[in-house]
Amino acid sequence: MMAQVHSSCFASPDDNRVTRVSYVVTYITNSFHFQTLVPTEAKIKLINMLSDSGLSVIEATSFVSPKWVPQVNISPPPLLTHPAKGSTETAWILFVTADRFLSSKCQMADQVEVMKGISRKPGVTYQVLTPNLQGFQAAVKAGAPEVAIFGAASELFSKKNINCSVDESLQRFDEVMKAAKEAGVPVRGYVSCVVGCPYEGKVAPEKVAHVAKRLYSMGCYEISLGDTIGVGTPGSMAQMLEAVTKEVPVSALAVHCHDTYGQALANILVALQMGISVVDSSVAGLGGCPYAQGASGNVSTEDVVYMLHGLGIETGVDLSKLMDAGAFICRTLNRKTSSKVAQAACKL
Amino acid sequence: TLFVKIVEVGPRDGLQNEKEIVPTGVKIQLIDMLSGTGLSVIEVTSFVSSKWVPQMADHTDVLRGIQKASNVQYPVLTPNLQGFQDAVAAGATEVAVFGSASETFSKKNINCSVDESMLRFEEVINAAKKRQIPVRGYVSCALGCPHEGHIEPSKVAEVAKRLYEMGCYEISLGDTIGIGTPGSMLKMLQRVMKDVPINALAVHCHDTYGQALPNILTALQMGVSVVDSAVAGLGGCPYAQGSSGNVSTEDVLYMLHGMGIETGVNIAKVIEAGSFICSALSRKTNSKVAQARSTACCDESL
Repeated sequence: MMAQVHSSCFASPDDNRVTRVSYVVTYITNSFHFQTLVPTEAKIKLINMLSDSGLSVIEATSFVSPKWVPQVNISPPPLLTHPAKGSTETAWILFVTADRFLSSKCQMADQVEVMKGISRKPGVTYQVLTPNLQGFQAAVKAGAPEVAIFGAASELFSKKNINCSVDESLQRFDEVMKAAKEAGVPVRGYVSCVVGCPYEGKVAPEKVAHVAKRLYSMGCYEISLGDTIGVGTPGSMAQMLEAVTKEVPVSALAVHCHDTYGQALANILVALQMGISVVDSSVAGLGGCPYAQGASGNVSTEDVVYMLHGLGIETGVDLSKLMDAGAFICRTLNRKTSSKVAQAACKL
Repeated sequence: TLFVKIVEVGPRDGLQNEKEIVPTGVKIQLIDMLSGTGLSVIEVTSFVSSKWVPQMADHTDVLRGIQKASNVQYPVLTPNLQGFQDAVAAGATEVAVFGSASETFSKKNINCSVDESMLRFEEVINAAKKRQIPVRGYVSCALGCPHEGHIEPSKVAEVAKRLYEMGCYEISLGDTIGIGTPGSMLKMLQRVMKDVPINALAVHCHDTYGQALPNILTALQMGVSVVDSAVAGLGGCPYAQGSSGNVSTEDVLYMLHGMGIETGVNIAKVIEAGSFICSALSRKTNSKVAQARSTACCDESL
């Protein structure tokens, strides 16, 4: 069954409006194992290496292992931040949750140590997710300067994940948004299943636009559109983005592509051609797909940066330093990198 | 409707770059499976000296042993006149010649300059013309060379133009070390298109740096409608040990079909063929689509 040919994915490639990617948001982990198997010093070192490579946004968040919560795709552990004393830097980290699914096995006791231990680089943003008001309040109390909320573009995914409809889930965030506004804390919004759902299959672009618009009008400064199971292609990506950009300004949009079907870079390219200038990725491509055991998940930051630089797009990132960070975390986790650039570069 | 022709190079370019020598029977079975997928072009072997390429030593047996489907072409590589004659004797009805945009690569690979290689190819092409056998031309190092580094688009255009004017019906532009990006692909194609008509061009992208699909997308956006790929992404990169080489046919098909482009190829059957050759080679597939399909517990549309 083939999708209709979408003209946007045939835009002339030099009609590239983007010359500078605002930032590449890199996730240092979405693996439970990262949180438990990596010693505190290693976490600190990784974050420092990433900051040093020039990345301007680093999200240090963690997914609960599917073993405990098969349906939940985002459930970060608690992590408190301490405002830098008397510094003018805009860097900060926030890491909050009071998620009821977390068991004591997800001990994140070292988060405070990590926060204290890292060298916060000026101009670097370290962010995290807050699924509810309790989490938000804890974050603000700890001095966290930015939070994130999320919504699914698929009703079935929302029901299975957090046991309520999409609209209901967004209503729950009303409280968080209100509190955030009062506290002057910026909020990033995430939409999952933007080009496909593990339960529903196809997802209507209009639904994605609806959720993105809601998040934006609720006050999120940026909406990250996630291809949760990596099924998207330049065709479905272009269709979805066309619908969303009608409702949300393109400068407030980001793409979060998964590479489960090898489509991530092609999808990111189409997004860039349509004016997107924020890309989410994960160093070394850490984090598999919770819906396809053994399959890949996140796209590798190294591979994304390689492509962007090849396009003449500025990212501010030093690719070799980034690869050092990726090599480091892979050694620590005793696993191979998922980045093809990393695999190739050390052999040539 | 948009149509893209896939040129399946797994049995030749793929296997040639696999460490394990594959038995003739396995090669034949792979090709026969591929013949049933809807692919219209399958490159089956290379009539090159077995001294240089031991994997292709059984070229005659392979070409004679396969079951040729009526709507499928089975081109073979013929680096010189001798190879061409052997190929014809074995029943070849289409051949291919392999030139380079890099002088150094040409010297190191086939021990002669680009100009000298063109003279050899001219012999082959002239002999082929006499027998009305179509010839496909390849230009390697189109986006970079493992020895020279950057390759000027004008050099790629020069070699492509020569091959085209000598009589090749199609020119496949190869990113031999997978180093290209949409940026360099665009520049190279813009230059080559000035000298060779777009409908005579194909792209042969390697996925060594993960850039193959965005590079192919760029080529499609420029009007290219022929794409080379290898089932299961067979064939590593001989210049970056352990790294990947060919882009997987399955992953290309997934992208093309997702864009509403027709190929005539059944992706599930290609995945099957890929699974067969991977277990014969005792290796994992390089195709992300094949990996995802074999483990997915969820519903997605292809």
